[in-house]
Amino acid sequence: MATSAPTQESFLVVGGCGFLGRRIVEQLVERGEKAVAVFDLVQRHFDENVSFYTGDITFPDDLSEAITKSRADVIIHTASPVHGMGAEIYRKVNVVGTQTIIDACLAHNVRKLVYTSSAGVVYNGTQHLVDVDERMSVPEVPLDAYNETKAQAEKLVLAANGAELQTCALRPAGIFGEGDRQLLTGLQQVMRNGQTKFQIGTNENLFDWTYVGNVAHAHLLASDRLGRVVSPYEFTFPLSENNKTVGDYRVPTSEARPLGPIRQPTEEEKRADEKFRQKKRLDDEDDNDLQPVLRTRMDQFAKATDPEYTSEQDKQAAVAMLKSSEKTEGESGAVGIMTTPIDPELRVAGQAYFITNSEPLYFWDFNRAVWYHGMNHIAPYHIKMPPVIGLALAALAEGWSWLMGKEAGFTRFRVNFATQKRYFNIERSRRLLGYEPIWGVEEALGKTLEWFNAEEAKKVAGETSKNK
Amino acid sequence: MKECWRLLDLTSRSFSRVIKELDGELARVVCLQYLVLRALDTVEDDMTVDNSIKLPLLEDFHNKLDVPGWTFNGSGPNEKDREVLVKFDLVIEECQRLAPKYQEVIKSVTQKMGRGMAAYAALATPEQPVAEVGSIADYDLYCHYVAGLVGEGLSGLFSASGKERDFIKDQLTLSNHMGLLLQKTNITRDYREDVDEGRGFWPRAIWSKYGFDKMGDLRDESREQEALFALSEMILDALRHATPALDYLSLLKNQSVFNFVAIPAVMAIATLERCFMNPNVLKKNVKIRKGEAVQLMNLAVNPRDVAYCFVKYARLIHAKVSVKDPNFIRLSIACGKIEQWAEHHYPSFVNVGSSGGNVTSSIDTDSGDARAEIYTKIAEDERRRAAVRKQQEMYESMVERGIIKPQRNAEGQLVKPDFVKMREDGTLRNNANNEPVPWLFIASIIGGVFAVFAITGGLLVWVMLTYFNDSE
Repeated sequence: MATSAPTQESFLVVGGCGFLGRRIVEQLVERGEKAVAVFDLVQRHFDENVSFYTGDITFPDDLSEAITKSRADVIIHTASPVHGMGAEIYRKVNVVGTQTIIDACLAHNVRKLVYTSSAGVVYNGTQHLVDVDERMSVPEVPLDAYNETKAQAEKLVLAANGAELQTCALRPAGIFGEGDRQLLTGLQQVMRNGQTKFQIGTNENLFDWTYVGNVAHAHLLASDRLGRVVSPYEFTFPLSENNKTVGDYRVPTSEARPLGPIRQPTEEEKRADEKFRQKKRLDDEDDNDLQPVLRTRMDQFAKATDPEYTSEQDKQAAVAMLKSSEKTEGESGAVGIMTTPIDPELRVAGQAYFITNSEPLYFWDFNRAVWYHGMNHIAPYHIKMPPVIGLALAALAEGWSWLMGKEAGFTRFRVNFATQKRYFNIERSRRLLGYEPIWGVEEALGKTLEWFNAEEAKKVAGETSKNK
Repeated sequence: MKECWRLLDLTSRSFSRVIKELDGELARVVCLQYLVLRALDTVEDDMTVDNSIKLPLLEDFHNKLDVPGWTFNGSGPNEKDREVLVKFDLVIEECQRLAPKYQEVIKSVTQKMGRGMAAYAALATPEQPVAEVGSIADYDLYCHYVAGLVGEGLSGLFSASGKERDFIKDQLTLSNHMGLLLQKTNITRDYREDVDEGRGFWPRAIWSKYGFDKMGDLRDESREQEALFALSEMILDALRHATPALDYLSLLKNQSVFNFVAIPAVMAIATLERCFMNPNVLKKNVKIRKGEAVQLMNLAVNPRDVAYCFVKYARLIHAKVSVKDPNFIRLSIACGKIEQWAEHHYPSFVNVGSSGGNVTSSIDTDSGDARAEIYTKIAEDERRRAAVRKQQEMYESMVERGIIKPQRNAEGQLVKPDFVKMREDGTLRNNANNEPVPWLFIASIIGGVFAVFAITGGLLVWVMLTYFNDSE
């Protein structure tokens, strides 16, 4: 399934053999891009229509060669070390590597750079992240070396945004999907240890999980739209509800409804039926009962829609601009008509974006769904622990491990992680990138578990054949 | 009109009180729309009226409002609301006294609803006097005709009265969501009563998934587990309308209108919670307790409290979901959506209180909510902007009254002083309403708390040591 239309630019996916990078490569090829290249440490996939360059992102020569040979217009930079490596590796790959990529982009006239950051960059380890949007600043005291270096790299990428090179950063939250073993094997381990009956906290904390296919889709959109400016007028239209998982049905109204059992429809009823079947366009005033978008003064886009900041003239100019730029989709829209300088918030380039499925689940529900649907396991009962007790126990466990010289599995960090709310507001990526999740959480989890079980079966088959 | 009020009391259990509390003439108007639609519904429900009479009557019902003295005596003796039809001349008389803008709305809704009801009634067969609902889309459409249109009509009346803004009447999607939330709650709750009377509005698409061939089979106690999962899917389907219902509520301005819409909405969410995973739904009539209902009515006065009431019941529903329920993930997401809505529109870390009739809000920085940082910044920024605006106004009025001379630049042109810049470089002192953050005060409180902890801890250690020494 093609996720968006091809632009026929030349793409170089850095880290294109990794979990996310591979998905991006697949989606690019699938939508009909002819020039797709991969840069990675080792080549793990072999496709006819994708060129591979192996090398290290901290070596400028390796990068130069790949960029020159692939004639890249766009670089999508997804390379990042896995969790559990040392601080030095994080710094080298995330900070030095990213700076090397930026320098190479500027040296070789690459026009666009999309960087995969992480939603974790705004997490300080102690606070709830509730409906958090991009105004949230990166904590002064970083949580750990990984998030610290991710945040530094993101800063470098966004600072590099300019006339020659347009950049943006995407911050996915809780990626899962086919190809990722970390999350599922972790949960499998908990199950094998017989620890599924423990629940810390009340399980009233919502948590964002994001399917890798949706994250990849967002990267393609970010690249396509990097040159765009969104009109402040856009922000006055309601966004459709994301009901991918719960059920996407349009509610009938007297203006737009199916005929149903009506036998001899009047002209009016026929019109309503036709309207109902047409794809609902939320910004079409004739076709839809426009719902006002109410923004409190605390809303992230309160400024964009506030007449104090945006004159009526600008709004109209923006609409005209939008209409003309629609014809030349993909090209950077004409911006000159605006009478006042454009709020940088309305430009796609130069910003960071949270990317989620926008369907947060209660923390323990996701795990239990994996255990039940993926591993056919249900805890016989649940022992519920208040977070305070969990923290105290974790402190003891950490102390014990320290005495024994081992790494603790049960830590205060994990207790916090399991009891905190952690979900993001993705209006910015929806409005500016035009991002909407394609796969709902339930469907995506089903696909992921199917893949995981197939892999497990292969493993078992491999072991038995070895034993013979 | 007195007789109409009596008819209202007679026919509606829950609505009569909230209708009467609507502001001014709106109470009368809504009462009449209620009676007209109740009469139409009575015709539709009546199994003793043959379709040859019923269908034309339903389709033509709106025209009866122009026929003074018209009544209908053909209802079956068991129809509990037949009196409204018998005395319909009184309703017509009162309707004709209404301003034309109201009559128009009532007539239009009656016409549309009658048309839909006739189409559904035409599907009746001798074996199945009430047609089964098939897909979810059918279910939505049926509910649109019998309840969504009521929502549209009410929105029309609210706008016509001038008590609500004009765009309310155009909020067809949201009005329908509101109507569907209430209707689907009733349909879910009334399972047993409807099935026993040979009706049933649960869509086949839902219950057939759990292996049932007939809707009545859900009563089979040996298959209770499957029936409960079907019930949970019904509730999940109703929850789809919860956040749009909150959207609708947040658009309302008039307190009496708000209460009128919000009370049934909170009752609905509480009823859904009561029904969820409750085998009694399959056996008898389930109702929320009187005390709970009174509490809910008192609470439904502002959108924030209504939203958090929805959150409370969503969490209660979520707490009861079984992992084995095929709707497990979807219910988790649906309940989460309600919470997301509430936190987005009315962040929980902002404390709302009232003092001396004014609503005040303050940011609870101890909530552990990371957004407090953003909000504090915005609030400070706003204060600063307001102060600059005030100074500008003061300056302009002083210039106007000739108290101070306007500033001119080298070429003699008038220039406005840049107050923003002046504040920044300190030329202008901040005035009283810009208080600095009392860091010292906060630090001393935190220090105090630590001290208390330390003392308690020390005490504890001391007690333990003494205890151990004693035992040795």
